[in-house]
Amino acid sequence: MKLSGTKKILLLGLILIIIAGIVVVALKGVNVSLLYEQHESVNLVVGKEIDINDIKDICKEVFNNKEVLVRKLELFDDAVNINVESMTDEEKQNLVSKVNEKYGTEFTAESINVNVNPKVRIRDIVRPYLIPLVIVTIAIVAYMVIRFRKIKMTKLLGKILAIILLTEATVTSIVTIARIPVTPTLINVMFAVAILELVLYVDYTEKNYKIIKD
Amino acid sequence: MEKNLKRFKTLAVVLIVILISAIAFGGLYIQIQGVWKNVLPKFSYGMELDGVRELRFVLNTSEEEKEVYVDENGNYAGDVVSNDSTTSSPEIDLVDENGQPISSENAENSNTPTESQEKKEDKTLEGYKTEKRVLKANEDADINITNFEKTKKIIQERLETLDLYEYNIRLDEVTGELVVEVPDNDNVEIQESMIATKGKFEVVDHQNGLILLDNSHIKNVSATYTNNDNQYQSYLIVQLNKEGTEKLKEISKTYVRQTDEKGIETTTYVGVEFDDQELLQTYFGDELTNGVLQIPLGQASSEYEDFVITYNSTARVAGILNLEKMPLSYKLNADNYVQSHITTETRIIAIVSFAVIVLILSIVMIVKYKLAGLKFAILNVGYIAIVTLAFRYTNVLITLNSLIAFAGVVGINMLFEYKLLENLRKNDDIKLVFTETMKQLYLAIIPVAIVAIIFTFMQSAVISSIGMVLFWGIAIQALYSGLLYIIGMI
Repeated sequence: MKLSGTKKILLLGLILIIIAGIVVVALKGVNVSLLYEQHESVNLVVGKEIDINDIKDICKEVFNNKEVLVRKLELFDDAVNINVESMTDEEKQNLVSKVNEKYGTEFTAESINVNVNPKVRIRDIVRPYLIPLVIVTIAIVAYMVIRFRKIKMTKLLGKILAIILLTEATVTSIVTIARIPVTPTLINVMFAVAILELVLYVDYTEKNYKIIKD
Repeated sequence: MEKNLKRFKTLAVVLIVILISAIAFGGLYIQIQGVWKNVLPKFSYGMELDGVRELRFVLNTSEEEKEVYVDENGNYAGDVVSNDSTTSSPEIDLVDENGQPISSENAENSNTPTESQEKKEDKTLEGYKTEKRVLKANEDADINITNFEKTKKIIQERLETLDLYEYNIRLDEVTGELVVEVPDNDNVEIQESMIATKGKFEVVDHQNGLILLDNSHIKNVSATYTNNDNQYQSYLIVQLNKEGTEKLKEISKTYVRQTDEKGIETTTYVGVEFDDQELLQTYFGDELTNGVLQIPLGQASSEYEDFVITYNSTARVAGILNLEKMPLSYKLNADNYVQSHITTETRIIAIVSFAVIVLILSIVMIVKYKLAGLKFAILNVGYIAIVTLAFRYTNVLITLNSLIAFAGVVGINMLFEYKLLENLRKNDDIKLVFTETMKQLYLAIIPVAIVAIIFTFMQSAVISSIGMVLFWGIAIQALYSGLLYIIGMI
């Protein structure tokens, strides 16, 4: 397969991105979203209406650069669930003091229970996708084999596989380099990218069927 | 004249599209008892958008000192039952394949009793000795990482038997604590019980508590029902394996009602237990050779809705019994509703961003194709409106994943419009251009259609929601475009 000058540069660029991604994974690992990574959480039932932005500000002061996620607890806007990578005793004490100061509550560090939330395993996130993806792959391959039967199958499937793998590897590398947190939605975005590639390839093959099969 | 008619038709269609869009995006308000109320069905959201019920389960640490039977190898063989607790009369009986009781008055071996008494046995049984033991809900030796993992796997399999399941599960490998996040809907209690249920099935000698059959004798369990004289009754059908079938054959010959020469009836009962709760006490009329236990669950009901609830619970029990018994017992420690981290502000930003993207693409279309571009830009808004209405009325679950699929179908519709407008520039034969553009588009998106169909039929809410969105998006695109073509809007 001969590639034009522009395509060669593009391919080289993509390969460099993929290598950079591998290096980042090797050095820093994958950045999994806080809610899916092991973290600690506390529930604070303040008993009066809370502005979640105030709690976020308190958390910024207390936990500095640590990743924090604040969510409302129950339905009455008077309780919050604070999730943080990890919490030291000093941070816990600071959090309690600042919340008491802001809302006039009487929490003590001892009365606050810190829950450990273990990670959600990537394999558990991917689990529901496995069977449907296998069925979809078989169905799409069967369709393509029938639809484009005059094209050599190894050539057709090899090319589409190479395109999808290259794109997915590039997207994964970009996600890793940019330290975008991995969530189930990101997995779905990658799946959507693969389907888009497939649609574009099918469209291209349909348009150039006569040329390709000859 | 014809030109005016065409203009009028275009204007009418545009107005209808604007009206539909206003309803879809703004709501349909009707005054009910003096209050204006939006009568459009609400969107159904997945747990990422709607919040989660965070269920924390800890290992059950309860323990109880009991007098138990121990076999020759020192294994536990059942709780010793005091005779006082065996005197109650059974209310529910085992039934045959036709739903007829096999241990009641119509049983083959039964005679009209003149006097009835329950057979009381001595505590000492051949081959077993009794001893006092502290029975723990979880034995120390069982608390290990292998059993934590095994329990987690069984819980996952149980939750995945539910339609449109959605959950996150976290396992603390040190303490064994489990955190399960599930959607905040009517199924929460069911899911709680599915996690807290160990799945222990036993047929015991009701007189002395000796275990006769357990989970290891089960081959398969299913749920069924009968409808006699408009009375619905749910049944649990337990098909035993070869060893269980042989045992049941013996049991059905032993646990019977007998009458001596004086006409005094003596009955020995078995108890069928699920997680240490007795489902029924019964005795046998016929020898059971097929290895099938048909156990009625709940009361017979003429109310179909009540029956459905009972039947669904029976099916869930069957599902649990078809899976392995959990090696560890858990109890619920905390249950909190945690709202979504995607706040209203974030949602508004996302909706506005989406609208801006559609607007930019529409402006490009208008600049490039002038009036025709404007017409298609408005029709595209109509398409988005109809699709969202379909989501409301067909109860499509809106998840972050399905929103990506939604963006995809909107993209497909806009791609179709661009291609159509481009082809119309080159050829003014509308029929030919429309047919060719549709053909070109739908041949290209066949992989998407395959994904839509397969994903729709999956039990996972995350997967199914993607399929449903794609399905409705593509189906409405085809119908909407076809309709617009038929009425001459294209």
